[in-house]
Amino acid sequence: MALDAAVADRLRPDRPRLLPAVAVVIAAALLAVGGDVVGLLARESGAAPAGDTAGPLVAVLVLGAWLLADAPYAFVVGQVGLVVGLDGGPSSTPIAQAALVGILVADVAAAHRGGDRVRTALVAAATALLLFAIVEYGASTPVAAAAVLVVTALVGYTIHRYERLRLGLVGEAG
Amino acid sequence: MQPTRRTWAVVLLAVAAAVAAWLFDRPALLAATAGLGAWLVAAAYGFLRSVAAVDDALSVGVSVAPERAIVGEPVAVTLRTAPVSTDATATVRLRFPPSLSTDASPADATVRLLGDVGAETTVPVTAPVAGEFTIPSPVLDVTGPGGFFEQTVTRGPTATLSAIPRHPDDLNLGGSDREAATLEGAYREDRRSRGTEPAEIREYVPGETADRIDWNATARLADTYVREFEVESAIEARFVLDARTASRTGRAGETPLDYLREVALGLLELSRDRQDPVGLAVVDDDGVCDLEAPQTRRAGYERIRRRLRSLEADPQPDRRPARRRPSGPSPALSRAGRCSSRTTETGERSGTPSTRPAARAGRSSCFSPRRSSSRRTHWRTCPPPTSVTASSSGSGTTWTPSTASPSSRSTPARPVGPWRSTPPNSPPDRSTPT
Repeated sequence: MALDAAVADRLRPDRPRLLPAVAVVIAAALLAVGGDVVGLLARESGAAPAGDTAGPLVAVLVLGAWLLADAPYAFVVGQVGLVVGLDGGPSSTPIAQAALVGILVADVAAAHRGGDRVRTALVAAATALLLFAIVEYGASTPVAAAAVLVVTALVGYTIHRYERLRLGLVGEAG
Repeated sequence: MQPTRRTWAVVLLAVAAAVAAWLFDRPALLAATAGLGAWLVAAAYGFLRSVAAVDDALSVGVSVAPERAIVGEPVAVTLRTAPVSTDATATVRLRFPPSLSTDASPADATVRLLGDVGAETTVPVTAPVAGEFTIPSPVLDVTGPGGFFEQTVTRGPTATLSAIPRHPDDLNLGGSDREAATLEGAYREDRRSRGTEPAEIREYVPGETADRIDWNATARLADTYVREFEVESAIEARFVLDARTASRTGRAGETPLDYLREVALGLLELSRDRQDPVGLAVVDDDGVCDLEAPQTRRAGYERIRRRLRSLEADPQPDRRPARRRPSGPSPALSRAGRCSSRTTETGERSGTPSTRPAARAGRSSCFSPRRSSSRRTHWRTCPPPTSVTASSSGSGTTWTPSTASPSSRSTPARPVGPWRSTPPNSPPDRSTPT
């Protein structure tokens, strides 16, 4: 019953589903059918592939998470699958990473129309590039983690304050 | 911009991924944190665009019909919105002050903004008490796509509803409700007195006192002359309203108190137009319960008007016992207790005598209007309170001051002042008010 409701919510007519669905299918295909590509990239970078069944399994999990929950959860499932199942990372599996990030970008962009769709997609892609750069060039894992969280919080708070200024709510409580 | 629980869940997921990357020393997990952070930023930006677009295109109207209604009668409050095309879920809902009552559910008072057609809803409300009610601006609720962010902001105009007590239908008194063209009780402009502005010189009439003779004119002319002066002073009046139980009995809207209130409201408008000082005293079963010193300020007129409107026909059951002052020159004032009034929506409450200047000075004023030269205010200790009584007849309504206390009824009630209404066919009274 809960499953039916969740799937219906994902696929309800008023929800823009085409773009996120295409993104998820592409990501799942890359993880499953293109497991050799991922494995090859991982092998060349020194990471050992966990096996032939890891790719299809991660792809199914990503699809299931997207249908049952939302795009962020599918993205996290794919990331965990890359780390645990394929034993890869951001630098070792760039194609899979790009596919997973594409799920998020498509999700936020599909929620808007016209010029806002393009702007939102650009903001998502640019922010992702910035944060991934912080992760890639971070001195250590704790520092990189803290930096990612702080930058995200600062940018989000800036948007929040600008919204209050835009709506004339500056000075009011909240 | 308020994050919802779904947003906080994503935030928690990102933080958990960062903590896991640190604990298990797997930097690859930071990719999840970075991706979720980018998604959160993009979602917030997209919501900002949506809210700004809705706010720019929003057009809200609130109307009240009728704007003046009898207490307890339903009033239709209508909310209209223009079409707004948005990818977010935007609704506009009416808010009502707690002093207004309605049976409508919150959904009935809410419209959803649509892209192709305007929305409208009408909610019936009633005012249980008299007064001025302000319906605040509607509230705009915007929920972003996916329900990750929401924002609530007030937009649109306010509306005002004036609830008036049920009043008699057969009383035609100008001023109170602007329903009559005849303002009975207006004093004549040809009144003469001992002022400083000369008006005319006329011949002496036997019987007049000698001090009114203008000796300069008499010396130049053959006869004796008297110089008249224009009236310069304002007519200071104080309404003493009988709000005792006997005045509150009768059919709804036709109690003696309803008539008295309408008369007082009409006179108040009359005095307000002429900027005459007006005071108010309300007498209930406990004595003089409310005092307003005569004044000409706009706030004073408005306070008296609200006080008159807030007088309910039904006596309040939870009366406090009469409060006695330990000492004081005015027994009527010392008997003052709590007025049987109800607070209006504007928060105006009748003051107790102890809070009024006149009460602090231990004195009360009389009903009789007194002419005050310049801006001086005359006070004198009051005999038992005088009330305004009204009676309605087929030819019109006449109302004269009379004494409220049975012990003082031996004093002849003399119609005085500018508020005395005369029958249509009666000769004009040219006597000068005392």
